Amino acid sequence: MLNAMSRRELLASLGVSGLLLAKAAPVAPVAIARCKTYEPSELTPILEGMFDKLGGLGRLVQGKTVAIKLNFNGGPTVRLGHLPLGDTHWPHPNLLAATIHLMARAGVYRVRLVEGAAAPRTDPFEEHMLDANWDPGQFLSAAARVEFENTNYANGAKKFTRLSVPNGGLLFSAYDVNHSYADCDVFVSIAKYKDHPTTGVSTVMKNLFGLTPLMVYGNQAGKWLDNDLVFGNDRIQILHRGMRQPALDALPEVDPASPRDDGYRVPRVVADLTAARPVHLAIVDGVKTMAGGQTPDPWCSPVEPGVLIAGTNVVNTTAVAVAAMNYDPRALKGSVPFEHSDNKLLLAEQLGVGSADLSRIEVAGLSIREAMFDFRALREKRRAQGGDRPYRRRPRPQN
Amino acid sequence: MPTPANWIPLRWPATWVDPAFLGLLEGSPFNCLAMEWSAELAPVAAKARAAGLSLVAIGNEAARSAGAAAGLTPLPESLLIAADSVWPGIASQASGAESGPTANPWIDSNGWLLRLAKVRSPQKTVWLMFEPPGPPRVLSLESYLRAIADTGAWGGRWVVSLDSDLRNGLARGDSKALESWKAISAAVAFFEQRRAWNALEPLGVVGVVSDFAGPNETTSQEILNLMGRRSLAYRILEKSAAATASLDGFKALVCVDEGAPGPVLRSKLLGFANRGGLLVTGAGWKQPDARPTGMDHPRVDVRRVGKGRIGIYKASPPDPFMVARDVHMLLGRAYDVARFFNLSAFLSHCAASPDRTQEVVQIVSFAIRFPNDLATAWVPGKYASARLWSLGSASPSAVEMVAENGGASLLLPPVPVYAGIELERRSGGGFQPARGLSPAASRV
Repeated sequence: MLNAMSRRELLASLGVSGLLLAKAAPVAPVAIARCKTYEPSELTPILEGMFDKLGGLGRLVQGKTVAIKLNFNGGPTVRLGHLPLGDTHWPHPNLLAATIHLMARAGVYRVRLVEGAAAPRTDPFEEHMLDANWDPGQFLSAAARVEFENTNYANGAKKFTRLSVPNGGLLFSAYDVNHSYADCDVFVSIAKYKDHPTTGVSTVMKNLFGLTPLMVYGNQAGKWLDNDLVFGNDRIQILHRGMRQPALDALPEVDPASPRDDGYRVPRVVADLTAARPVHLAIVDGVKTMAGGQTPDPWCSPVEPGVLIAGTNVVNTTAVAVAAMNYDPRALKGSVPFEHSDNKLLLAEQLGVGSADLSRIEVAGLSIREAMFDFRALREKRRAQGGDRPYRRRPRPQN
Repeated sequence: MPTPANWIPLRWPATWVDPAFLGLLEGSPFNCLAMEWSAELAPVAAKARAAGLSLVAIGNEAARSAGAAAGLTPLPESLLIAADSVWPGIASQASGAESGPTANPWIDSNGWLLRLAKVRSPQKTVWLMFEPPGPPRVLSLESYLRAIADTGAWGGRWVVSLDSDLRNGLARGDSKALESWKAISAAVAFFEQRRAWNALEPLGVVGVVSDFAGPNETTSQEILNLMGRRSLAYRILEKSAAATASLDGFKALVCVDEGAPGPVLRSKLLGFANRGGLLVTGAGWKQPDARPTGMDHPRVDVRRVGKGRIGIYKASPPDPFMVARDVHMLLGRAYDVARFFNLSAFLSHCAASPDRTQEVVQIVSFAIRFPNDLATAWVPGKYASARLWSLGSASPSAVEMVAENGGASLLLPPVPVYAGIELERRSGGGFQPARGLSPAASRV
């Protein structure tokens, strides 16, 4: 039973059943390309070449409604130094625009940009982008039908849609989410790769944590009946620490006696969501990003790995991205980069979402070695200098 | 002797009865002592008068009468003492910092008050007479500098008043207190040397129409306060003058006063909306011919009129916090005159010369996330140069500009208290709305 598994038990299980599951978990090619800038003239052909290596976009999106999950961590007005958000912790807008443009050329019917933006319901999602000094017109002009949806709210659907986790789920058996995650034909996750204080690394898998609407899973969930004020922009109380159960009739967690430790809980939520809402295309923005954290703080530093990584299986793609950060995608809890959390890749692998076994994943384009950017060395350097952030909050007792 | 318009006031401490304390004023900009009269101050007053300082009587009626009898000047009509001014800062309670409904800290500021006073009494010089908070709060130098900046940035003058710690420290000749005094003097001098900035016109495409009085006083004044808090640049249109005022340059007008406006003003506001503007009104406004937009909004009934829109609040009076937010979002950030990054609790004031060749962006910061957090200000348009003035600085420093999203990002140092940025437009780089969606496309 995974949801009550200790590290020792996890190790033991991986010895037999885990490895068997790893061998059975799906694999699909992952493409890596060198890309030094976000200039559309460089970016677009490189991206197109990567999609071709994955079988072409037309096969995936022609005539379809595509939902692209962005990865807007933190507030829109928080920058690392002077750098625009797209250079550090949000996917770059030019990468997004190029993706939409290529999808339009491949015959997409509709593109819906989705994110649980920490903004009131009556603030259009486009305004959240403008607050970050993005130009939403860039996306509107990239395809015929481009829509924006803040998925913290039910919006026009009036109620949230339940996504069940196949075979029961690790933390929750189902998650209530905005309709856009359920009624799209194709689901895309696009995110930077970067360090993460709770789960070690954050990229296209961790991005799915944001599927959970703040109205249901946020700190103040259920406290505003006018459905218009999201107070507090994180999910610490319910998802990280399990201090209470979700709001608005969402299902409670499978085992309320399971650890209240975010290193246990968050990776399981992420793994659950990758199973409940399969990703058809994962795009990792590693052209420019930052090391040392998920959102800007004094411990973070900007870096320019100059790579893009894409794949049609989100676990495979994450495994390659993690390896290209010079981390071991199969590392167990207690070792870099998963010092304080269970390995979400292995959990998702055990759910049958995809393999984290690099020996089984075909890499097209650059090799992992050629694409390597040493996040591990930066992490060790920060620690040696005593300048690293505490990599984990102490779990609070359940109340 | 300086005229009242040029008086730079210091509230003279009642305990400083020794004329030797006047030595502190050497090298400072203060040329006017505001005194709550007592006979013990006579030697100080005599020496101050001899030194060419102006003396003005303040305090309650008895103190003012006594001061006048002792030869102090009564507060002249040309000065406006703005009531209800507050010590600027993050509002706090015993249990900790207060916050608004979005968890942002609540800021006490006098910026909106000075803006309103200037509109109502354009010929007068506005003084603020707020006092330092008493114990147990301990005031830092930053608190004083913030109080000076929060007044100076909006063209007012604070009658500088020292708390007991600083007064006693100066009386003892304490070196740290003397350093603080020098910094306070330098900050006051800084804004006096930049009085020309007060002649610039506030930027903003949102007009707030109100009589700002009676039953509308609280709501309308809070709207000004809270629009400023979210960097929604506004201009004030007093209701009595709005019917004949030019509406050029406005994209949205807000008039949520109780009751319906008079027919002339109503016609003017409706004409503004018919021509494509956004008009936001109180619940008393009836517009049966307006066409529904289908917009699902919990507080505002948004309808089409002519080429524009009218948003009628469902509740009366509307919540000022929501009005500031709703107007911003109904209009859209495409009309922002500036955007700011890594400034967590701050107010800004953007103003320009009539020909728009010169602009000044002033930032008063009340809290920052991290001590060395670099700030960025983004302004739409094209600029030839940008210069940064820090408090007390004798000369500006060049600001690096980076093209971003059709405008310029101004790369600033950390702003713990204040930054003033002078911008010079490139020829042909006149004000353009920020890139983004047109309000009509995004909203209806």
